Amino acid sequence: MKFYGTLTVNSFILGFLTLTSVSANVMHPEIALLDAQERNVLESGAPVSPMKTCGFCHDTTYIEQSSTHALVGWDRTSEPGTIATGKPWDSGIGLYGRWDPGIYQVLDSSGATHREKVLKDWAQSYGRQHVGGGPTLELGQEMNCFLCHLGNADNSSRLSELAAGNFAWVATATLLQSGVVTKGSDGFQYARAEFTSEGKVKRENFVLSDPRNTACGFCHGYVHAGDLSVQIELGSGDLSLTEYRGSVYAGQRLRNSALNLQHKEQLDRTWDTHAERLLNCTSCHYSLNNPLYRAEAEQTKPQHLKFDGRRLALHQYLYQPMHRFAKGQSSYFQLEPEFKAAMRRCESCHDTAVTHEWLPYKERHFDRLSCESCHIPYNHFTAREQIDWTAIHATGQPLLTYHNVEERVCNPHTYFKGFAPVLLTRKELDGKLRLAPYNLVSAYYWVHGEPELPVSLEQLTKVYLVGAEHHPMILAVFDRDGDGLLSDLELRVDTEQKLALVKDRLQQLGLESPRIKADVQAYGIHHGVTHGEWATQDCAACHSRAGRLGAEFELAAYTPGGVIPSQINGVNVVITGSIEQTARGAVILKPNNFEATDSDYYVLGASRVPRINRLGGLIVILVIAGVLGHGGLRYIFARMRRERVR
Amino acid sequence: MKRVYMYTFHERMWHWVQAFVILGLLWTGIEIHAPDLVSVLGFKAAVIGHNALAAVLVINAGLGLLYHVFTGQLRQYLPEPQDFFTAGLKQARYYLSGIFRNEPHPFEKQPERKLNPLQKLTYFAILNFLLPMQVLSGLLLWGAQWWPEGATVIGGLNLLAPFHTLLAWFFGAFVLMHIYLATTGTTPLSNFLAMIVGWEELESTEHGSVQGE
Repeated sequence: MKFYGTLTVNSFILGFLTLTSVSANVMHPEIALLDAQERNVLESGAPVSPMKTCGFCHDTTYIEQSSTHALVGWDRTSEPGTIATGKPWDSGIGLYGRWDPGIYQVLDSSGATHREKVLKDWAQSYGRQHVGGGPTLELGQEMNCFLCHLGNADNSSRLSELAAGNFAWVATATLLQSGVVTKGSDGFQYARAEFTSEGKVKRENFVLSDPRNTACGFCHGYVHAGDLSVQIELGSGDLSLTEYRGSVYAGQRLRNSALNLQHKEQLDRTWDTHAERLLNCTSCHYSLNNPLYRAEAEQTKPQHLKFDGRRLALHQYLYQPMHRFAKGQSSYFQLEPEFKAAMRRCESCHDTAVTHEWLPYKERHFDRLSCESCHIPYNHFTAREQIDWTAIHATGQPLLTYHNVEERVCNPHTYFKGFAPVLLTRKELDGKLRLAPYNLVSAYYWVHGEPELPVSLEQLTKVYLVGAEHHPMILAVFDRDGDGLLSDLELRVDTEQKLALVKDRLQQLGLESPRIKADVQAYGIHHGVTHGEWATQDCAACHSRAGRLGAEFELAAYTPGGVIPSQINGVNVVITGSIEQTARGAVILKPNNFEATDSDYYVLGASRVPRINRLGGLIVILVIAGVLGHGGLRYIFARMRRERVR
Repeated sequence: MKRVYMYTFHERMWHWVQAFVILGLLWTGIEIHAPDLVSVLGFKAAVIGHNALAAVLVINAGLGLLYHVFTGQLRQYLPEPQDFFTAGLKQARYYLSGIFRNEPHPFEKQPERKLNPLQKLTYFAILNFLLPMQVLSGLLLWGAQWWPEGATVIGGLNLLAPFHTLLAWFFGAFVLMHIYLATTGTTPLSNFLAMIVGWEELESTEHGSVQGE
């Protein structure tokens, strides 16, 4: 009876989740689409204003002002050169102002005359992963509620309008898949048939709800939905979590994907256990004032209370849902550090004592290891290893290298061998040091002048391209096989001749002392969680010098201009070990997680003090030598005595 | 030759339990310290075995202490002032030269006086320093998960663990020496036999006392 009771409860929960996630959300009333002047768009034909439309019931002003996704650090910029943890040319620490080597555009914040161009450039590059509002408000692009809250949001059309510079219509373009608006040669037209007689959008094709995982996936990484096999296109940089961390949020089994994975037939695990178990992104990354998930920090919580019933009523929350979402302690994202670690961690949902009965010294392990260390032991797909902007393709894109992928990732049969994340020590906000898995991505690019600035894409294009082809001077030096095209291998700046040519051409553009710079950034890996037999259960994985603690990690497959990165960036990452170059020219990190990062750090079986072993070994060897010598002499003298007696 | 009942049942039991436990601890200790070099049991089994053997060691050592205290045998392990100098030197001279000339042992072995001066000094150091320190450091290592402050007070795990390792090396060296020196009895195997059966064949002297180890 107990089993069937449990089955019934689980069925109910699954059914409820299915109902609320997939079907029309009957809770949300039908709405009228309003323009910026609060007129119904059916009458004005103007772009939809999410602020006015959704602002009819929700406090959109508060929502935008509390939204990290909208503001993206635009409200926290400062002069270049003043960001302690940034590059000399960074003017911020968020998506706005912080240079991303993957996107490459530099935010030139100098002078008010550039302002509109600066904002436009930003919106069309970094802004592809931006929900609107904040810095783009001046361009006429409001915070786009539909992108996250509309079930069939059309992100492709949104990006197209963005690329075309039609900022005011970006939010409207998001509605194209719903059918309430169409786009023709004469622009956007609202489909009256999709509206009620009162001018409100019919609910059938216009499903508004809390954000779905696929919406988060538009900007953050690959999120799988539906029945089709997982198929991922890499290279664009839009799927940042997937590109830089290898994260794929899918409940599908790896062997059912359309990807050519090594040992695929044996991979009956899912891409991510939480995705398999129907967890939404917002289950962990919830709104900070969500009454359901909200938990007060230990520091301010009244100590005598186990549970504080004083929280927002649902209607209060729905009116003013804070769009600042719970986050962890990222090594890369630095915006709003005061809200770091607001996210509930694994142990707030999982009773680790019950699930880890097999593990000896549980508390000690949990004290020194993040859950991810064992539950994300291997990535069967890939992630970026190296971004090389020292040369560019005819398309203007950099050379990209992915872990253990020898072909171009865009080929349908590209073979993915996977990679093991490197374990590095993370310094957490509570002062604890825990090992956690990371991907390390190196970026190579040209800089010039002092203070140094990256060579812009425009300047690189002038050096390398003429029109849509490589410059004849570049071809003459780079094209080894003489076929008129430059392959990835040929484009590498791996000879003195190539280096000299590019330097010369940069100097001809007026750039002072152009040189190649190399950085490495650590990206924490927190998705792609597995469990059971797929999680690490072998003690030797860490308790051995041959295990993961010292496993080499490739930072770069080659070294443009012979430059080797000298440090690894990550705000809360403690890097130990050495960066070395292998015989075949690759750059690797040899982590040394055996050495103490604090007085309490010692990994049995891996950490050693060589002097102790040398001293002890010497003592034992001396004893053995003494025993053999003394015993040998006794034997010899005894034999002599016997012979004398004879 | 005279046959003397040298070691009681308890003494023998205590000795062999201690011997096998220490050997077991050394082996499992090697597997824990260098699993990439030695891995017969596997790391997890080695840790479990090491903890279990350590518990046996502590219990056995405790029982042994009680036995020696209540029977008065403890005084055999207490070195006297001359043991540090004249007597100790005499014994050392025997090991370094007399033994090769088949000279008689300088000190008579009797059931009431089983240990020569150097043995007394060695066991005194082991039983009062080496063993207690090893047990204590092991306890703090094992207990670090429930009482991390204990390890921190001493200087942290990265001081405690190497200290434990160093003492283990000393124990290893002692075991090798002990086994070898046990061959310096009346015959090479006489001491081993005595520790198994309790009886020992000793050479009678002119005065009727017995010599040998």
